[in-house]
Amino acid sequence: MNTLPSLSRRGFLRSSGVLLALPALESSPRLFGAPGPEAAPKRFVAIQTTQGIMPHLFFPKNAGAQYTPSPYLEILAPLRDRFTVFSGMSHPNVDGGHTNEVSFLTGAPHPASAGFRNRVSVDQIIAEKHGQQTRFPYLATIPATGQGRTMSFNRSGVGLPPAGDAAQLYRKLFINGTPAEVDAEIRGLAEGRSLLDQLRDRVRRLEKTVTASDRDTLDRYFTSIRELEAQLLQSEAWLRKPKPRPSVSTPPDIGGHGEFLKRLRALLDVIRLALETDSTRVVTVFFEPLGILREVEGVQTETHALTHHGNRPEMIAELRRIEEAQFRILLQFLDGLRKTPEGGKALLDHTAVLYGTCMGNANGHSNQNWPLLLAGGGFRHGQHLAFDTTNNEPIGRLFASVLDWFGMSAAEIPGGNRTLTGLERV
Amino acid sequence: MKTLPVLWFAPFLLAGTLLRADIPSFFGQYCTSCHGADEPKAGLNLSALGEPSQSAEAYRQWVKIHDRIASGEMPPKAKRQPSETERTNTLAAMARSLVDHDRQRQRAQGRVPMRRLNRTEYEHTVRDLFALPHLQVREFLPADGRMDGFEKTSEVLDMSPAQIRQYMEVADRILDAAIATHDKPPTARHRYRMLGSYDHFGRTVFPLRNGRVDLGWLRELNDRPVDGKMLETELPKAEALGLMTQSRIGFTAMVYTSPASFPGNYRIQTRLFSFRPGANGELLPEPRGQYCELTLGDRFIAFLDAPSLQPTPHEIVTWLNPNDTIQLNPTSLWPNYFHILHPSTPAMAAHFKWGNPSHPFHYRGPIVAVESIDVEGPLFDQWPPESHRRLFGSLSFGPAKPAKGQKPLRQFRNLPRWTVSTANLESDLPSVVRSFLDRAFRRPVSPGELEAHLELARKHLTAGEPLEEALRAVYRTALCSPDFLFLHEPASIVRHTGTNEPSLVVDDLAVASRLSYLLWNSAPDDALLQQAKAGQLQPEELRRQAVRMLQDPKSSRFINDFVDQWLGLRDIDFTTPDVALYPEFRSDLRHSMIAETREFFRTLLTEDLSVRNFVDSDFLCVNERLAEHYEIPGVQGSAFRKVAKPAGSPRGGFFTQGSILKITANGTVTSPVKRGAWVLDRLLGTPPRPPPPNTPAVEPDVRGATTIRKQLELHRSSPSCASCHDSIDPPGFALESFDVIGRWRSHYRFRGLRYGDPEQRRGRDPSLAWFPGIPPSQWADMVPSIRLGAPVDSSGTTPDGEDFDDIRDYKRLLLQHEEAMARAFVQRLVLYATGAPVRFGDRAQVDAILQSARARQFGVQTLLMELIASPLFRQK
Repeated sequence: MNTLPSLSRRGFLRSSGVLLALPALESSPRLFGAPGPEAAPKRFVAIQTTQGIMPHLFFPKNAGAQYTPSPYLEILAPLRDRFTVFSGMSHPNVDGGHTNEVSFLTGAPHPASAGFRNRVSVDQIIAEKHGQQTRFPYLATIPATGQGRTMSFNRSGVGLPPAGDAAQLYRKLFINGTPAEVDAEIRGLAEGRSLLDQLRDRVRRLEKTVTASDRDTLDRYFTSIRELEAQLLQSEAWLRKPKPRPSVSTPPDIGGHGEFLKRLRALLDVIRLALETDSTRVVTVFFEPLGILREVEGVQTETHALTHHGNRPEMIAELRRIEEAQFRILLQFLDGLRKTPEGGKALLDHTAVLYGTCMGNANGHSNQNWPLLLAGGGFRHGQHLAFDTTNNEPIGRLFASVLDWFGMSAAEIPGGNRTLTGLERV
Repeated sequence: MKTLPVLWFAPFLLAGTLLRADIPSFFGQYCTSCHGADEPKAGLNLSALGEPSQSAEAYRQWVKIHDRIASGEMPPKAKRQPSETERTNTLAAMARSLVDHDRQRQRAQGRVPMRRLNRTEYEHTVRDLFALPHLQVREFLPADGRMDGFEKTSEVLDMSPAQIRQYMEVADRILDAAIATHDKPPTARHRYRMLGSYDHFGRTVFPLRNGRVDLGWLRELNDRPVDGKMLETELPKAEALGLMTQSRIGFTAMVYTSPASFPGNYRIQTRLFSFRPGANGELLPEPRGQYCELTLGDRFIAFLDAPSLQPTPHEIVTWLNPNDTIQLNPTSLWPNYFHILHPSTPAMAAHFKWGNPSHPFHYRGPIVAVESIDVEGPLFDQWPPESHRRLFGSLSFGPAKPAKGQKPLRQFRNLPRWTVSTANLESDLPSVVRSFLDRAFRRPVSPGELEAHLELARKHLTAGEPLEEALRAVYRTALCSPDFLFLHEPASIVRHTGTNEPSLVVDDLAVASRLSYLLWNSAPDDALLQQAKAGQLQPEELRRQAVRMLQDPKSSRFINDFVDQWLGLRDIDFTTPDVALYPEFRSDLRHSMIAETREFFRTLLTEDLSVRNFVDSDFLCVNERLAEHYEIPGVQGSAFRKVAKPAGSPRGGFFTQGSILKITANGTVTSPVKRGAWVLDRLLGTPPRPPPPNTPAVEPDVRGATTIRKQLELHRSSPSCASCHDSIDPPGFALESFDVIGRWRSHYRFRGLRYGDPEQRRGRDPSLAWFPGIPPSQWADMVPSIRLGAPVDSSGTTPDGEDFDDIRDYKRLLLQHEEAMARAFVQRLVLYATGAPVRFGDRAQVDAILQSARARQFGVQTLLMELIASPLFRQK
């Protein structure tokens, strides 16, 4: 195993006042072969489908390990023992219909109100602690190239922009730049840091002339500069390392305009590669299944119109096809993770995958009983955990269980003060 | 809706604390039985409430308590009521204390924390700064937060590392666009004749010759396989190209080559007309007004009218980027309804084959014809362009001559590199940099600041960078600097001339920025800056400047931005109506709806019309498309104009406009609750409280089996629901007469035979009059598919117990709340204009503004001007 001369770099960084947890990449066996059993890191993937999931086809009738699968869960039957389905859960006071999608991972209440401020999302909490170990602390993704749609939010409640489609992501993760490109990027980073130096001086000058509350504003600006500097330094450290070689050597076929399911599939493939190569450990996928009627046989109506089916059986039948297509893609993704060996187990055992939607019933924009399931990770699965459908259990508790697996607390998420009863670790 | 008693005019003493006055005893008698320590109702425990100065939350609670007692809402009617004197005295004590708290706060730190430019302001600022009116950078900045729908308040305009990173990237983009790096590019002229791709030729688009549809030629074209070669030989023979949307859903009438080789201004000229083809290909008149939508890249530019049989020239000068495409979509034409019903079946494929009614050879419906599209450019008044001069002044500009040891310049295009140079670095450098910084920072830069920037430039020069790169580094820093990104408002204590009250007041340069960001979303121009530097911006001068600035075309930015945020128009694309049920809704209607609301507000502003017009007006601002939509006869052309509202029309005011009706519906069904909440919130300033948790959602039933009114029955029968819904539902019921796209309806629409309903044709036929110009074969498909069901019942009762039959009745009742609407409007203006919402201590000034405008029936312009001239506008 090679070891790169890491002491000089560590020395440099420490002396510049920034302590980074340098990745164990130099000595990581990931680039060169399968890791040993103690080395497998934990990952978190959250997938949100924004147009709802019809509850009468999703929720199983009875609870426990012997539950009778619903039609949608029947699709996931080959992996029955690898996931848990939940009912009777929602984020308390997240009551904005479609706008709930921004509170999916944050639990911030009343997203539709005029003065809404979001909170930090659970993926960012994990990325803060574990993100420094990987080239990408997190990946927020969206299969279509929509502007600004995200469910990842930082501590200031600011949405984090998505990372590009599957092809762009593949490039970012696995295609090394030419030496000239890398040099140019490093120069760019250096220029960036020197600009930040200038800005810091500007702020210090300005601070002397403003009121106390204005100083708070400038202080936030100053803090942002410092954080950005740290990020640029980290990027620079990663720039000099070669990118990993994934098990799939050609970029995925991402599909054309209007092929949303194809794009989703391609994106999930790249995400699996990203997890396999430890390029990241935190991923979110924001999927909006609009405009996919051309891709699904038997569908002739726009998705959103179908979700407001008003109980018309023909429309329910069409919507069912769309939702079933998504579950098949989910099965494919989970199965891919299951088939990837890692440290004597499977990648799926080290990856907690959350799949769900932010409304109980999209037909009426109901805010209770959100369809949710959790697959993988170090949990005992194969059951239906049913909570009270009138007085819902907070989803924050589920996040607390996931964060607990990561060795972290979920006190910042509403409802996250304790873990979920019935979800055990293995 | 009761009006709040005007207590804050009560004389102010230096207040004692709230807890020292009669207030605890008042609470003890009338409040703490519910709001005490044992079971604090709604989470409010009065015995544990601190002073307003203790925390923002405590302050908010005190304001709420004051307002609820003042409106009579508390104590609840069923409980023991205080006497009038007790109520008045307690409220006065609370008011004194809250006002005093606010004043102290204002004196110490101002009511407006320092705020950064939002991304709309940023974009307009750089467009003006660099004289690049079509520069697009907004999309590269993260979305801003919102308060009350507005993106203008400090509290929601945050800063993060991601934000700064974007500013750095955007600064580079701006400088790339602004700096000239080669000699003046040659101006070229191209004529484009083809729209769509070559395989559309003769099928979706078809040529006209000899003043007719040459049927023989058309037949010949269809017998040959289509390829590029055929296009080359045949297209030049055409006089014009006929467009029909009938052939392909989603067909884009686009010029497939990007006309612009360099970014710059281009002149686009075209000639359009419309017709109906006769049986022998002759051109017959087209009775309905047709037009094309000109789109560049993905920006909607304008409607271009295509009058019947009259080739009409259009000319537009606008910016094009190298990848921008030109589209001339004939959106006034009806889409092919058959295609909507059968998007991907063998029946559809057969439908467009030769011999079928949708093929140009047989089609007899309306056609829009394009004679040609000429593009000339890039056009530059001067070279290097103005954007370059803003950065480099009059530094020499010519072929780059790299000096020994100098680092190479970045190459942007495959052209000989030109760059700036100077023989007098020592004098030119400071002059050029100062000129830019003064403009960018919106105030004269101090010698120290200038020196810091010059040092940066010298550092780069010494390191061997060329002059252009050294200056770029300086400008990049300036564009990311807090002096540029934030509205810096140096303030000092000033005593008000009337009352001698001290408050923290911003300097003239800051007031100038406030005024220009209010009316132009951008930095002050030279004339305004001049007055500011000379210390001349007294209230009267501010008014004069405001009048001047409102007359400038840049004031459209205020009109568009304020209306969008105030009324929530950004949600216009949130849902897409079911195209099979509402084929009337196409992008032309969508653009017209937005334009109408903006035009209407512009008229209210320019003519200083009363806020009463928010509810009802005797005029409308429409174009032909909207007039058709609103069933108003006699309007022709796509331009907007003011027309008198026909007698008996339900239109007029904001909330009967298509845009508002659409954003308060969801594409399939309307919701009285959503519409009612909009009226309460956006017009009256009293947003309803959110529903209690665990409220089950209403599942709309679009089979026509039940109406929304029946489904909302609980709102009336349950007292806890009724407490809010008695106010929310009535406006919503009145507006049930309008469907999801704002069309008037007497019966609900639902989908018919589409899914092979075994029952034949439930409901009633739609009316042909709603679909003017639809070809008969299409109409035959629509009748079984668009059905009319249950009748609409738009009656209701207001919370004051007054009945109404429909929207016309309801408007009369709503007009009684004129003052409440004026107040809500001014509150939003304050938020938009100053960057902070109205606090308790600001209410006196809001009242003063309203008082000054009372004689003008609360005219919109008067209200705006009074705000600008008020002390509130100058307060930090």
